Amino acid sequence: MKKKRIIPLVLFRDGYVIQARNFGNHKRLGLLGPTLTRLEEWGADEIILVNISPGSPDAMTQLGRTDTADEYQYDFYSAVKQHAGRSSVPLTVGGGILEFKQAARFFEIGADKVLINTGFHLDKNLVPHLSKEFGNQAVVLGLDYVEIDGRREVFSHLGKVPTGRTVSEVAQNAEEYGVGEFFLNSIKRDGTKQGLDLEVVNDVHALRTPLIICGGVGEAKQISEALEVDRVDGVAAANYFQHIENSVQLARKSALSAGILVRRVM
Amino acid sequence: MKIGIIDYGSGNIGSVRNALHLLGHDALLSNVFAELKSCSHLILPGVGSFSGAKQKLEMVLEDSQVAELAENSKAFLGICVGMQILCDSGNENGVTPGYGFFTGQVNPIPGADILPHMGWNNLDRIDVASPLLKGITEEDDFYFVHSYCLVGSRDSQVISSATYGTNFPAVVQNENVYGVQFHPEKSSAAGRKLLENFLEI
Repeated sequence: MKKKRIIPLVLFRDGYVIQARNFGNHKRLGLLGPTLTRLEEWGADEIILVNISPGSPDAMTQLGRTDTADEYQYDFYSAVKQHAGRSSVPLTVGGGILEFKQAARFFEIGADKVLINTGFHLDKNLVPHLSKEFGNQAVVLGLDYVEIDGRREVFSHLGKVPTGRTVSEVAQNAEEYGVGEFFLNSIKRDGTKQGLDLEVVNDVHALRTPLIICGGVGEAKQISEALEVDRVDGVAAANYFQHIENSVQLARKSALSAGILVRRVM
Repeated sequence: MKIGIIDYGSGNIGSVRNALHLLGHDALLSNVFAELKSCSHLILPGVGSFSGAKQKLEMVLEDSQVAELAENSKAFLGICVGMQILCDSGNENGVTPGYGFFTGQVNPIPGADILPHMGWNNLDRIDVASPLLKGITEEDDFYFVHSYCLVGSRDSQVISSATYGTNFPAVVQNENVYGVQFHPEKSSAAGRKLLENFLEI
């Protein structure tokens, strides 16, 4: 039987993994290499890695450290290149992918899927082009939204620009173009530990694309409650998997005790 | 042993090569028939559409060359769409002929509401006699990403199946030619085990 997925979301900014709250309040946590290695060792089902560095996606960062085996100066692309070769679970990469050729570069170095967010709103040909060339399954539609009185409005540009469109409108549009997954992220709940927005499934219940939800995880129980929802295929979380020891295992244990089918990892 | 990965512009050959590298093996990435012919073990990756992959492969290898590579290798493995194009035909935008190693057509997964079939799933009805599945059990999950599957398969060629919407062939074998619908290079420990088994054939 198909299993539900536990998915760490790793946020990369200027050379470091960071944590966030309501998409702001960024605090540095550590280096990317050790973070990804740890998450994979903990048994992550897959990893979503998003570059939220301001400025050019190719910007280099001088970490100014001599205590690590990682290069002391690198950009997101190089960071992905370093890690992708060591990963044996699927890796989705995103953040500032606005053009076809940017996505193509990431596929070349080993990314399995690309996450398209702002790019979807800026160029309506981007997703169809990517889906045609790499297949629907390689394109994940990322939607960050703010929910007010049951209406979920999609924001682009890292939660800064309201698009005027709702989650259900954009998701439907994307499904028509061809995407492999929806990755829906609640800006209000981000970093708050108050739990995930389970009602968001209502906005996509008539659609056929697999759904990953994110935003607000503070404990394992919230992850398993979300995985119990039929329409939810995977749960992603950022801070939770960075701050709590063995959190992937805890989430897995919680899901298994609730009778939810997830992968058993030794 | 010499391992070759057919580089024809479809499928993340980098991931396959990296997976083999993690197992301690180097692989040749090539689309040149003469080079691939010298390999004992060949892997045909593939993603996207059946017709797209078939078209791309036809640009670098003749049908007869694909047949020769498959028949003369110690073991030949098609992954995902790579497996699909080894079947009789694919029905996506009209009918596209495949290479005919596995009986059946590649159709949209019957009975699946949510597509693609994306994520971890386990195998069932594992043919323990097959060298490819040595040590693999129903507890092992593999990563699937597909919206189409083989239907109308020949029982003797199906060495394992999986369930999503319907029960469909997950691993097929025709003598030394194998196909897996999932991605062993992205299936963690279970995937590594399968790749190791493949290399031991």
